[in-house]
Amino acid sequence: MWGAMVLTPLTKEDLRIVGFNLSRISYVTGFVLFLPIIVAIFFNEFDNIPYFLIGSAISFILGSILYHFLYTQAEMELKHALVMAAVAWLFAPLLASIPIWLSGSMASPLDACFESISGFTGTGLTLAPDIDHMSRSINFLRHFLQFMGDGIGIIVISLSILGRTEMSSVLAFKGEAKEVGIRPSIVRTSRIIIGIGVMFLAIGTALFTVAGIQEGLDPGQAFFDGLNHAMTGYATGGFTVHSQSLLYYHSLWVEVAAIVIMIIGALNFNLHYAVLGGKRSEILRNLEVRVLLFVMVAFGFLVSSNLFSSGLYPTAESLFRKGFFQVISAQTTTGFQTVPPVHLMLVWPVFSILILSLAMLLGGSANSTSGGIKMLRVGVLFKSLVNEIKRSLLPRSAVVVGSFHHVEETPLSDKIIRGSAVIAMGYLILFTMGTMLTVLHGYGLEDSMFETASALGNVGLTSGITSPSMSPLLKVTYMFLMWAGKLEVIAVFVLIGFILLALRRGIK
Amino acid sequence: MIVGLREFSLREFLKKNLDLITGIFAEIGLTVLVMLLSFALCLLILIFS
Repeated sequence: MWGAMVLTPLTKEDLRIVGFNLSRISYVTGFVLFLPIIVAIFFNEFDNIPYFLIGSAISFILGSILYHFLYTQAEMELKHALVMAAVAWLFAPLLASIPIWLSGSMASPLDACFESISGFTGTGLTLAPDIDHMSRSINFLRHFLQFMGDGIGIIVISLSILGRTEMSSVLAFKGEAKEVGIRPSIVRTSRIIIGIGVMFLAIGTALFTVAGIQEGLDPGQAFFDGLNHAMTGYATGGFTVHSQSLLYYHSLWVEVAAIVIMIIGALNFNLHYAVLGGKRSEILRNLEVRVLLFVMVAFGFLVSSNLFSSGLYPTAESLFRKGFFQVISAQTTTGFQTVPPVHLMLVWPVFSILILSLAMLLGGSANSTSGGIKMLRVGVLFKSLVNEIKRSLLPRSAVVVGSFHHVEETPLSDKIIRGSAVIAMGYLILFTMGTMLTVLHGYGLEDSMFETASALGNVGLTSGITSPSMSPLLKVTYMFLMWAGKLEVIAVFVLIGFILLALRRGIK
Repeated sequence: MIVGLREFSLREFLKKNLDLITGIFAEIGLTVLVMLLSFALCLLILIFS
């Protein structure tokens, strides 16, 4: 079948469609880079304003150039949408790295790009040498990038504000690894996603602020920290305003607020829409929620038991705040830490590190802000495995029919199983390659697996490998993994195919 | 706008947004359930060690 397939050569119109749609992403990035100016004015950081203005102006000018020179009314096809998403998730972080680099907060332009990709993809790995003394407006930008990039999605924002035709929009959604189906209209769907995000941002900010005040922070500081952590918690991003992550607060209440917002961020948008629309029972009937909760609690139990038997944490409270918290942070792909990286690397037992790596690789819910293979696919693959076993045990004439509940009863079709298997396989290939490259840099196997799973799953937990002093090759590798993980692998392979096709056959 | 505020009724607001409010509580309830289950398991680890 593959042999008979003829690939159509690329045309200039293909490039025009991709470029024209990128103009919208450029406009949205310009808006994202403009907003921290308000924070800079509020905190008297007037020196930073030109950096934001330059970044924003470059984005708007680039957007205008792409819009006017590549204007087209042609509809996007799936290949355009996937390539557009893949390029957009490099293009927007590149633009956002401009103010970060100009502010002098990072050691090199490469580090600024790394920080920006980590922000946009909702990963949370950082190369910032001194977060505690970073200016507040730049720090706000890091968190805001996670909320706008991963919490809501730059393509979703561009569709809701600058919406195109229905077909182009549906395909653009697919490119960003988001499902369609909440509402018939894609613009309305985009606005619902934004509404849900803003609502949980408000709830998260309130929870973190109250927890901060409870721990003795002054209300202004508690609100600033709370707003930033709510943005990155909901986005399951994991950037924090302190270099010690949430360990800085040594507060049970801050950790409880974080758990609430991390789990909510890891739930499927379709589930949010169903539950907030009155279908409350859906929350316990949904296959994905069941798998997510089962895996989270089971992994938490295994890690906590292992930590207890190693004599590291002797009380129930410390097991909950270290063991379970880190598993929830890993599984939801957030990356908030209550354990210093050096403890993870040198003190935690290997078994716990491997369980955390697995949790990061499996990830949260599909069509949510979290990364990884996703629980829906894990559930689908597990159900298909059970069906295969049944099929082998039953008589040949027996028919095994499978289905699963995900907002509605869905038949377990071969197409769904194949889609899940292909994405899971893509993740495993990249995970193996990333681990091998990290090992080649002289790090231990379990730490390499941990850091690779963290980058690929868009998590942000670190065992200490990610630092400004790591090799440029490893920085670029992790940037690639963060980008590929965010796009759920497929769009990356389509982009590579697009480039290879252009190289082999030229552009007609 | 002031007239609008005067006419604001908490009961009406709650009635109109009941699904949304109970939905938020259901989602937060789920997270509380996870935390309670997790803490209970931590206690079990200590008890059976």
